[in-house]
Amino acid sequence: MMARMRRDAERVDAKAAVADPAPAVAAVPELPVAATERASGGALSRATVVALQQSAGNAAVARMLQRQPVVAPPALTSSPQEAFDAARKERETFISAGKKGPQTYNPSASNKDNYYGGFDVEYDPAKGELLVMLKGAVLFLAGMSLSPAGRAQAIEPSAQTAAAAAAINKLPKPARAAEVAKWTWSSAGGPDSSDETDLLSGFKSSIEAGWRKKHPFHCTKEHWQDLGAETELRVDVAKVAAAGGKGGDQHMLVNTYKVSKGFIGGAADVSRAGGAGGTAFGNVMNITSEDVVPRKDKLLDRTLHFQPGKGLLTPGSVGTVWRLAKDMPNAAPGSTIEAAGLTVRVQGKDDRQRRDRFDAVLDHLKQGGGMDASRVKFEDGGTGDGGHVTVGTGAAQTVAAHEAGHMFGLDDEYTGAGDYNAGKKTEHTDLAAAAGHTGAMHANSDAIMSGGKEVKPHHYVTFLDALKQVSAMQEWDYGPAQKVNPPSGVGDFPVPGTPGGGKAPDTVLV
Amino acid sequence: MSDAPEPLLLERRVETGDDAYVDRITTDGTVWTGGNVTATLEDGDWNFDRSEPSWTRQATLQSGPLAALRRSIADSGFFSTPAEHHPDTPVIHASREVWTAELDGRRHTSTLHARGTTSAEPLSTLAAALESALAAIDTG
Repeated sequence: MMARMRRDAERVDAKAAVADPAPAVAAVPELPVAATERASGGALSRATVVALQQSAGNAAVARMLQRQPVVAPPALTSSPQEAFDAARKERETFISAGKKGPQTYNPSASNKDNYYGGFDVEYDPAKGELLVMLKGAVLFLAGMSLSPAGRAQAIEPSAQTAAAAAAINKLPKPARAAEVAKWTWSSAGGPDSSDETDLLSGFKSSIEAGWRKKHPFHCTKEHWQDLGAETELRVDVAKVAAAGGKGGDQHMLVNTYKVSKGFIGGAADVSRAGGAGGTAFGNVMNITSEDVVPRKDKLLDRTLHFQPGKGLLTPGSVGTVWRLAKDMPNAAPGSTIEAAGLTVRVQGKDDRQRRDRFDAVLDHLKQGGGMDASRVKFEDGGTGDGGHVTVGTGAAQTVAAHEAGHMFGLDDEYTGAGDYNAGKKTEHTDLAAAAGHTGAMHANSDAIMSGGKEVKPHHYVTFLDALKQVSAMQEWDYGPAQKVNPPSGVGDFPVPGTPGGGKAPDTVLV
Repeated sequence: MSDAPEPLLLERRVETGDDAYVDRITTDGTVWTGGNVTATLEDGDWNFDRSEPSWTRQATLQSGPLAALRRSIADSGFFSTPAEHHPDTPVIHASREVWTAELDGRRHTSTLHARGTTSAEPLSTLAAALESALAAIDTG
């Protein structure tokens, strides 16, 4: 848009320069007009008309103007149409040239803070589809083994599996093998017959469903705004017998540890050989067999207890509310990314007590973390002394979909120690801000990169960047494709002397 | 975790986010487990949960295994191993293993980041020594 305005300004300047040296002449029939103006076939300049009026008189000049063909000024009529036609032709050529890509996208190339991830991308302008492709080699690993001495040994590296191994080792030795087998894939003798195919299909479907078609893009190029891009996901994963079996075109090795059914927790992570200097194909993702179904640990829920008959929280619940408030800072002033809200369901003997208890929770949220009251919603929980807090939508996350976010170049947004402290910047904060989504931070929320499943607009920032790269065009932004109207023939206003424009003036006023 | 049993001989703390599972042995040979994660088996079904951090006394090492553990700690090179062991490349959201030992008035802590990806020989030696000690109290 800026470039077009500058070109129009240059055109106006050029016209004025031609008109200035108007010659002084005595009489008509043929009024002398600068040769360049005649040659151009354009309208007489204001300065020329004034000069002629002063020398030949208003009436003569008016008659001459009536004989002049009505030619609309280029800047107001013919140029917009020509520009429109040229842009549309260019757009059609772009579309008819077919799909753009596929091309590999390395998040580190556009984000200096990134050191992981990678995917392929292809844009089909005819379908308006941006296809994001993630390819992986899945290595099935036991989560636990039995030592020659008959003791369970944790292999999956989480605290939960360490605790499970200790629990198995309290069983009589003859009973241990059957329990350890539950941490073994069926291909190695485990009891869950379809576990490997379930994992492969669950991995694919949880990522595709979790990430596809969340936020459309559209082209911002002048007269191209009806060109759109909906993001489609395609995840292709296949089993390999060893880490070395990963193909060169696969973005990640997925080490998948078998855990028993019902397992909660586990270590899930992503890393890339070479870090920021690595390629899009050097990633390693570690997950468990339970990471392709929604989490069961209710990360977005908190249970509250009130003192019987009173409006006050129990001491334990005060701590729960303060910790929650600390992990959910308000959005920084000027941020475009909203902080998650809370729904507080409160029980009590009557409406008044429920409201009092809600106010008590609100007070603790303010004291514990300065939470803005507008983020907190009351819900009537009926009679009793309990309560419940839900962060955002409360919908459970599927870990594989979260880890896929790292493959798409996004950092964690949940809270923890050090760099994960609530309110601190993430490794995609600056990249998202450059795309207009400011204020991404570590915070407890329902977002996919925090504790929930919601893919927010700023989580599409690398897809937008990939679209720009694969289309070789920078003019893309968030939002659906827009309607493009051709410019009207002679502008928006009736032109005197044209059909429907009324009678042409007899004189030119100066 | 507060109120950790003392005096300490050896501790391994496995941490995943805010979750922790801890094996701890005091100088008198008492074996403790602690942390805030629970894994229980009931009629063949697993139940995983979180709880308030606490310590549970498991058993006491006999003098022989206790002496063997002290020798292994002394010979492991643990007291000269770096306080931090990082993976070659950063691993986003990995578990870690925090080892602490105290012997002859020296106390040292070393953290293995990205557990399962990273390794350090003195810590692997300690892990084998801890497993031998736990096997010595295995009554199964």
